[in-house]
Amino acid sequence: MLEAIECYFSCIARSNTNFILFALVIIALTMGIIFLFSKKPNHIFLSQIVTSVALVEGFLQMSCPMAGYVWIYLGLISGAMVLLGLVQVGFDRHIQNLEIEGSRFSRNLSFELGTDIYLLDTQKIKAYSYKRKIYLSVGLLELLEPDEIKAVAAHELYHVRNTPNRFMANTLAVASLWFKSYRDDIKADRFAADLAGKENLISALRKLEVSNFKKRLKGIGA
Amino acid sequence: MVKFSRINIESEGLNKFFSPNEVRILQLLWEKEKSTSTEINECINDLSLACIAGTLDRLVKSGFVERELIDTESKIKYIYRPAHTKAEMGTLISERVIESLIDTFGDTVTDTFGKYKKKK
Repeated sequence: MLEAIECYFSCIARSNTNFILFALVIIALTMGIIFLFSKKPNHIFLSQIVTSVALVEGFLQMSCPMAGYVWIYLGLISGAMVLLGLVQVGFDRHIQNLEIEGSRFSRNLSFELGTDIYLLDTQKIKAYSYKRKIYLSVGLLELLEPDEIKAVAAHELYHVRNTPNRFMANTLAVASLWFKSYRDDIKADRFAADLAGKENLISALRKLEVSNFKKRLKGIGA
Repeated sequence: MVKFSRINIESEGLNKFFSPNEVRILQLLWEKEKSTSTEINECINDLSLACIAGTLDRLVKSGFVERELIDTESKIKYIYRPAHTKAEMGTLISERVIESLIDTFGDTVTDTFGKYKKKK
């Protein structure tokens, strides 16, 4: 692994076109820094695209014998990306099949909360934020009182508003099937507690029987 | 429809064709005619709501239970009804099982059933 990295840098140093790579890296870094101040999703998206181009450009400049290993790593990474993409396509279809359109209840709820709520046609208790939309299942809406629904919707709203862009949102959504991001959840909980009341959020979390209940309580200071 | 891979002749009663939780929910629905998930959970309180919800979704998907969405501005919920009476379901399952037997063994099967009819 270390040898491969060493080879990577020595190949780039020897290459005649390495100035392109440096330019790309500088552009990506600048876009990243601009995003830190502007918080505009488009900036970080551009930065991500430039970074990907820079990665490919870098790998194209490989010429030493160790380069083979680097190509294998690249292959593994692209394989994982394709897999992630496939999972996402599957999830898209799953959600499309379940979505209920033209519900009076959701229209009323969206109006009350000031944000669009989409319904899932299932008795299971589900709440997602996916592709900048909030999905709540009928099972969840049956179980919770109006104030508790507001708390859950506010939690999801935090996720919708604070995921940098669509690309990241999708990747995070797919990745979170396996890796739960506690830190984000706790921030979202705090936001929900402010917006809908701490006691409503706590009773909602209790009814939903979330797996990390105690940790989440500690997160909102209860 | 009944999945053939799930049929187990050695089990008791409806458990031959359904999982134990499915049987309990189906029997409750036949008894009450219509019910909501919370009512079902009150009657079958040793199962979690999540478990009952999953089973209900499965029964709806396989067509044994029908659900109606009550959707007003202030309330949203499902009302569950059995899709067939117990007798209708008996006919459905018998038809599928006999069809598959005839597929495999041909006329012998209808002859055998003729004997049962005479005995009756």
